[in-house]
Amino acid sequence: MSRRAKLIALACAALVLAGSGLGWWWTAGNQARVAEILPALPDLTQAPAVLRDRVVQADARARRQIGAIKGLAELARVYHANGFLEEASRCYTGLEQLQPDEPRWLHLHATILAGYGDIEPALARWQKVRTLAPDYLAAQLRSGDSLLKANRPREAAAAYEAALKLEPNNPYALLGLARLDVEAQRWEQARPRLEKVVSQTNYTLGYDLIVSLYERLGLNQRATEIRSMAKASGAYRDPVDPWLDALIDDCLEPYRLSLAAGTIARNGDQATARRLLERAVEVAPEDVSVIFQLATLLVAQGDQAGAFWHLRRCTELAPYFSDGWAHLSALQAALGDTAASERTLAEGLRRCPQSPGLHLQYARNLQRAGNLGEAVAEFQNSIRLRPNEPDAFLELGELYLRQGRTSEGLAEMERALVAEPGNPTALGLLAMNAIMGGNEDEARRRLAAARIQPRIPREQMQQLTGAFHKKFGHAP
Amino acid sequence: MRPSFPFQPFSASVIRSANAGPAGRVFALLAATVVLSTGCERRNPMPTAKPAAAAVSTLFSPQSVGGAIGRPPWIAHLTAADLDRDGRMDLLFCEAQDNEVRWLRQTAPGVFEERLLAKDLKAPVHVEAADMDGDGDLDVLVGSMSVVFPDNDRIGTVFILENDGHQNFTPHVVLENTSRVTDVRAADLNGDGRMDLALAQFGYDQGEVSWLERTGPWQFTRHVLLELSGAINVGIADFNGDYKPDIVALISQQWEEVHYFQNQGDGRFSSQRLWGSTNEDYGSSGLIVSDLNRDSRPDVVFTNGDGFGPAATPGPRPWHGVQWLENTSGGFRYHRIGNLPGAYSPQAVDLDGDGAIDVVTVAAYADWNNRNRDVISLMWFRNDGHMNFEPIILARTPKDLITLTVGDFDGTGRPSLATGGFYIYPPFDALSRITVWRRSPSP
Repeated sequence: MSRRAKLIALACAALVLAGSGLGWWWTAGNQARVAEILPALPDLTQAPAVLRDRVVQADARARRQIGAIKGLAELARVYHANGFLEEASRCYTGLEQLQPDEPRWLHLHATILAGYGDIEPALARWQKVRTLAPDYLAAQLRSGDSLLKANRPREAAAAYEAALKLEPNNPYALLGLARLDVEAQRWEQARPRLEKVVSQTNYTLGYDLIVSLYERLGLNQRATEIRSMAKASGAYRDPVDPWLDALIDDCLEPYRLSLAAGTIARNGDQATARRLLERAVEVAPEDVSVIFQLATLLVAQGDQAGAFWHLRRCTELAPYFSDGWAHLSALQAALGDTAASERTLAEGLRRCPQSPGLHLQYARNLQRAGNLGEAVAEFQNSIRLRPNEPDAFLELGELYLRQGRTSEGLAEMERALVAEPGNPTALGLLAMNAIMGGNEDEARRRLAAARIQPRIPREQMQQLTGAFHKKFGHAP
Repeated sequence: MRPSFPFQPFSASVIRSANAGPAGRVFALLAATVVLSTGCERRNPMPTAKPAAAAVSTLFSPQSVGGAIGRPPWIAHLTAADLDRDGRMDLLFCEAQDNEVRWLRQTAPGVFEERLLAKDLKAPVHVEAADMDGDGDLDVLVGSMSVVFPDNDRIGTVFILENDGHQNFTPHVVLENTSRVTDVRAADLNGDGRMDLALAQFGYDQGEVSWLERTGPWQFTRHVLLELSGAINVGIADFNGDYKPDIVALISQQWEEVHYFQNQGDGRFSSQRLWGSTNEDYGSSGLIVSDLNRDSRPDVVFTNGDGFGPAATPGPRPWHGVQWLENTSGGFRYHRIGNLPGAYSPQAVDLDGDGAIDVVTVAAYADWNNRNRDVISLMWFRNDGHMNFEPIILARTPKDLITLTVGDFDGTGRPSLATGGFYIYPPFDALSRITVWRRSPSP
């Protein structure tokens, strides 16, 4: 080898050595920084084994020299996804320092802080995310919400307007602006925004504010129409947040999986909900709550075989859990296996003799079979055990009325109204009975009660009013 | 003062190592050569798991008082009041399933006798004692939801049980056909010398915070302060030192906010949000007013522990716990007190007699499914005097307690506790109805 070649080889070796050294120095520096950040392992004694292993492995990766920052990010994700939020928060704080231009850490950290109610530090982070990732819609919306909560309406409006630039007519941004309008008593400005929100979302958003707004504007008929749509809606859903929502892929905690599955199923994505619940059952095969949730989802999906298997598992694992027996019996009946359904119900009642739901189900079966005497007794059992729900009163009342036992039937309807003062069936029936019986004072009182119940259909109210007029010769 | 979020910032050495000087770099390069030549990689040692967070105290022992358990109880609320003014603290409570308000009269130190105060009250969920007619005896205020489970109908009712002076009570309906009522408190809100009422009206999809202006012996006119669903509690105090009673309200559902209604006089109120979370699953569950830091300004203490949601059964959330809003000259400042899955019904009391106000809460529905978990049902957050709160477990059973009150329930002159259980999901084990938590004898 010539001298020149030797020199080149030496130079190359030196360069390689220097590069390697630099690389090592860099990774060692990262490792040291990550080491200072890493939280202590949380108490994992109650966690499923697979989750325990996942946390320990992620923690170990974050402690390695090579890829420590990547390991820290993974650990943050695992902690966040599985509900170890204080640990996740500490990881994110470190990642914010190590990768200050990465908006994801700021956003995820902000969701944790705001989730605890600590809105100011969350807001500061979302403000940074809006600069670093101005196209990320969820951060604009969350920023707007946080500013609204912090009583900074102008800035909140600007954030919502920025969201609308990203997605014109975004219902969450419109809802935020409408709420700002309502708080500033700009009723006429709030109205078109809320009308657009409820129209776009089929009343899963804005159903709450728009009723109060219509009532304030004197548009009572429109308010009543919305009130009549549900006994209780509670339909609100959080906006889509891809960075946050993606965490569920790392979730191995059964209850958090069941919560996510419940939300996702309500949003209509039953396939994903099923996948999450199946993962929850795999992680915790004896967790009755998630097994039951999966079973009910499978019933809704029409997977009767799967539902049957899981419902039977519920009854094996938790024989005290009456809903397991009730749903299994109902499924068997739906499958046409009446004998098995009855056996299941009988066994359920043997195991859960204090279950009002099982007694009610048994009463219905007896009634269908024509065994009315025993059906009455079972309805009464259900009522004795749960006197504050109207169903058994109503069904027993209807049975009495069909048998011609009018006074007993009406008495049960009265009791149904004690259990649920606004029950539309009982209100309508008792009003009509008072009219037909010629008791004008009572008929007027009943009609007044029916009139303030928006869930009595307008046609039925017109029938009642017409019947009153016909009977007494004047309007009520 | 404890930081508002329980983490210390990173030490300066983290920042320093990222900006090491030339000498450090040379040393690092040499070290790299050595390490690479041996093929070794340095690993930080694994940490050990954190020990359990909370200590356990045997300060109190439970004792059931009052009637026996029949059906799984639905004790929606209980409060301490010396109803007959005999110098001993009694308990009033709502049995929401039986539609009753009942009185546990302390007849001798630690001895209670139960009596029905009123029936057919349509799912009562809040009871208070106040002299509403100025005749020197305590009347009883009752807020009723009519239906405890989700229902948006206007079926709420406010009752006042008028005391004839001999603890015979006549019910008056003072508001009905309204959004479901979850809290009712008395004060002269418009300065006319007569007692008015402040209401939390949960409703469901629509609800309100409102006040009832006294217009006659048992007549009131309703004024709406805020149109939002999910009002859980109201609290009344002079928050701004102008000698007029103001109102605060805790709003749950998807809003998750605390609102402040500043009394402008003559029945006028301005409205301001004190705090809010963007977490629609926050689970606000209870609010009280207390001068927690003893600076003569009333503060706000509130819990979030409502675990009902999209899963098949209710359960814990990592953010469930207790916090307070410090009333400062510059406004209200949020501070976290501590974590507690399923937290409900905060109470502020100096439990250990050290001069600092502690916080005690109950918990419910934090673990439906796994009875092996160490679920807490009664927790003491001990104040070290500097507003740092140490969690101390007082009890794990009975389970599912949603209401708590404080008073001298045993004649010792020291505060003891009373709780009520509300059971809606099987298994129906570890139940309680009314439990008085007496101080355990000193060892």
